[in-house]
Amino acid sequence: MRLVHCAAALAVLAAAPAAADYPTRALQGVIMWGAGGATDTVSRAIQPHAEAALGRDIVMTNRSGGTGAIATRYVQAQRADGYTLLFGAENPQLHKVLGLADIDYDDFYPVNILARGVAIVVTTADAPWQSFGELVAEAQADPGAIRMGATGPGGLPHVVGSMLASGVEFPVTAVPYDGEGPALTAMLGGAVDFMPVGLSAAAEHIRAGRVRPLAVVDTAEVDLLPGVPPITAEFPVFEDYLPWGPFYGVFVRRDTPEAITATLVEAFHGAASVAEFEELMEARGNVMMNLTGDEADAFLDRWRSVTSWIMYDAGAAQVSPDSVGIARP
Amino acid sequence: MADILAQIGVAWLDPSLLLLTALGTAAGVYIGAIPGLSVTMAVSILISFTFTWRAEEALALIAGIYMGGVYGGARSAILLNIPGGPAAVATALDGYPLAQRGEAGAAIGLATVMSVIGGFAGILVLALAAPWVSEVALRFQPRDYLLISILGILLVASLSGPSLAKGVFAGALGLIVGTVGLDPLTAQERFTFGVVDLWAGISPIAVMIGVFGIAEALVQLHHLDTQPIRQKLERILPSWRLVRRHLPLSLQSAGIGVGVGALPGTGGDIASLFAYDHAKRVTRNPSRPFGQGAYEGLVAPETANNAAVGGAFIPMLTLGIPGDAVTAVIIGALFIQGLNPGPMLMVENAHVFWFVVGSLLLANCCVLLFGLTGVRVFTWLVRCPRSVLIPLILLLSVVGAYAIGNALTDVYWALAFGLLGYFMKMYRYPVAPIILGVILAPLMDQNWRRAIISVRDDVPRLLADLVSTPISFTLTAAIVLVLAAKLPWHRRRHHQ
Amino acid sequence: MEQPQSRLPGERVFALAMLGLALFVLWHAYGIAGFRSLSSAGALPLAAGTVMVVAALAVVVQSFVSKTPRQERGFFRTLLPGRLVGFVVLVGVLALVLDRLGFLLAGTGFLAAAIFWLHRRQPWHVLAWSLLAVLVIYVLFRLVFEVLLPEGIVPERAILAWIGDRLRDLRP
Repeated sequence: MRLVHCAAALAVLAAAPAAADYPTRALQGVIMWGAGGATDTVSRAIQPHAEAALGRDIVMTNRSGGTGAIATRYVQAQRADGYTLLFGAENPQLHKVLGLADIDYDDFYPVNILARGVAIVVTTADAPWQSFGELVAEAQADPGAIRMGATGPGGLPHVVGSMLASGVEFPVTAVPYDGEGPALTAMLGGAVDFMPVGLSAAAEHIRAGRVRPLAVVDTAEVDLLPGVPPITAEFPVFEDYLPWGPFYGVFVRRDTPEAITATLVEAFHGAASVAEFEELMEARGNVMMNLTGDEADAFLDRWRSVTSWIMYDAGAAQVSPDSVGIARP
Repeated sequence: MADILAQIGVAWLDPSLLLLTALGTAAGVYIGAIPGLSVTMAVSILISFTFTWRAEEALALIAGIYMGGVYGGARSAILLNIPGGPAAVATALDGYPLAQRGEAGAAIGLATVMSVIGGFAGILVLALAAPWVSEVALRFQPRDYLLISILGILLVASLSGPSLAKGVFAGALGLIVGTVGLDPLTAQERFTFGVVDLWAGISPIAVMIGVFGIAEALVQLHHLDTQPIRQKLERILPSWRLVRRHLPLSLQSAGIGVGVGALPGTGGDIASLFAYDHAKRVTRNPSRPFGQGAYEGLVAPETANNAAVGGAFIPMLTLGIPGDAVTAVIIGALFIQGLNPGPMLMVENAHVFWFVVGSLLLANCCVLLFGLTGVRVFTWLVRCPRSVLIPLILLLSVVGAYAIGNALTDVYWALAFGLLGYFMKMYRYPVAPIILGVILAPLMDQNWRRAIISVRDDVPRLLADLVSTPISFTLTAAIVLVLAAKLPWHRRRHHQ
Repeated sequence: MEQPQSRLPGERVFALAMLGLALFVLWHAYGIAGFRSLSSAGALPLAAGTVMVVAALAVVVQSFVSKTPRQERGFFRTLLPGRLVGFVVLVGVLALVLDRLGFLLAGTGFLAAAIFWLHRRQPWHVLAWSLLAVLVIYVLFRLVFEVLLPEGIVPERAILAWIGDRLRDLRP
């Protein structure tokens, strides 16, 4: 045991001079989703601003797979020297209850929670339903006949569906796709009837009038979609869970020296405050967060607790949140 | 009309855009030729440093890399029997035998001209019929993608060589390899044996580098003493007669390429294999038997994979739906540029559409230029002694596999498949069906399940649906026809 | 390839090994979800596994029925001569030390050893050319296409940063 302490002390000593003038070389950015996706776009949009603030290159690589578990595990296995950044989305926060992995953002220091997405429920422009209530009523009248576009366990449609199912009967057939984009494409072609989706993925189709938004999964209307009611108007059961949505952030290992995390926090906070980045996030239908430190940790904890319990109560998660130390909200 | 021509012309008249497209194409040819370096990767790297550029500059560079990259895969396929990417697998089948006959120069010349013809055909369809094609592509249901994948797996027969059983075995093995990892629909583990590194699955490119690159290098170790083949390099540009003779096949292949490319979720890799099979079926008297250096076997896949480029842009530019992985990344780039790719792009920013058409045209011309001029530099590869070439190929295979995902896991897979591929090659198993299986596995697996879930496990209803829409009916009929043509009784009667 | 070739040594054993592989795949595919539903994650693996077993069986039967004579030379001389085994080992070693030594050292070492073994030229000559080839690959991958090759014990990123800083100083 003493040996471990000595080693740790040595490591700190060795790291100390390095931390003073960090960063001395290029950083590696690991994106947990594939090229062209929402996480990828947000990460590559912040990258040039962060590079300018740090004065070093960030070499970005996509390491998708296992809904983010592979990238998470990879970064965890690197040295905690601040040279490997994880650009991630919300997914690891559900890995413990879904039994996918035993590490989540508890093991990482949130440099910045950049932005969060807004979820909406959409259907095709020629669908008969004018409100989400009508759709739910028809689903109850003919169980299983309505097809919902889904993106696999822990995906946004899965969670929103579980939220709803915790309050009302909602018998639909979930047809799984491997991402929001492909599922939305399938809906446009009539292969599924409706789907809960991130506003950023659907915004352009709504503007073109190909897709009809039925409800915003939030407690109030959003600026981009005037006249679309919040889901709580028809289904008050959602009030307990909201606000909720996917989020995007930058992380390093939890045991990274403080001098280094401070440099990173400052750089990314500045980068996320650049008007160009804020405008881009807004245009994509994301809500700017720019959270750091304790605030970010509190956000992560609340998100994990709310979502894990929804999933568990709806029978979608096999592992009890209690057993992995996640308290009820 | 004059307006449109002016917008197309922007890419040609602005010297800096002209230079960027040319530069992109030249880089693309090399990226495409090196297995492991993919166009998708190059484009996503570009995005972050084109952030501060004008949108036109970024698009010009990307158009060049895309066109050049798809074409470049043919180079290494012909010269070394190592396809630069999955879209060039079919090219290797007849291209490499041509190089072994000392006709590498002519093969590259023909591949270049056909790629350019395919590229033009794809751009033409993009420019004239994009909205219509994308509406049709959107109508494809999960069952239709299932039918396409079944049609695809039937190609095993064409890729098999003498023993059908060995080909079918290789194809099924590929399907299994393609399902390894976390199931994207249920997150269940398949063939992972609890190893987390297997969750993301086995990259098709690692398998390709293994069974083509490493296995080929190992086989070549047996032939160290054979002299490198003297390559005839006097004539690289194919004669007009040769081009004209293959023009009908080339245009048909281009049609296959555009169609398959325009479907979201399928791209040049599948298109070129379909085209190869098509060539094998419609060519009565090939210049040589297929698999031994038939020009037709080179013409069809090379036209199809470049035609698929124009095809992939169709749903992307008209609806904001990516036609393949590269266009998915371009959508991200357009977002960062503030151009809102989606159905409104054609309405609000029509100049972007015509600019892309213009740059693709320019890039295609650059392919012709670079394709026909750099041949000598490339052919030193086949002329340098094997005792130097084999270590180089092995090192490049290892680095290429590493580059796929910056991980050693892919290197180990490439090595494992290299060893397996070596024995399979020695015992005369065809290895191309493995790649076919790996490419088709997700398409077949996911769409079968979507199709059957959509009808709530009602098999008779699914069967009835197979003839219910024109698209499904056409695909079902195609499968029946292909099967009927391959039945032995039919062939026997044909021979009598 | 058209004329009937003699049967290679080990052909039957390999066919049997592939049958074993196919049976293992089928058994494992059954383990994914059994016959629970048509849309389960195990549906395609089960189907493909079955096809694999049938095809592998057919190959086994073919190889045992075929009358072509067995080739004279032994298994190791035809399929695994020393040179081949050596190369497989060499590439394996390359993959193993790539992470620890880094691409520059491991790549040069591999290339020099392999070429020297096959080509038999002046060691210094071979080493110089290997280093040159590795540097070309390094520049192409690491600098042009930003692929992070394994760094190992050569502090590449620090060297690159140092060069970058000096270049920046040069600029007015």
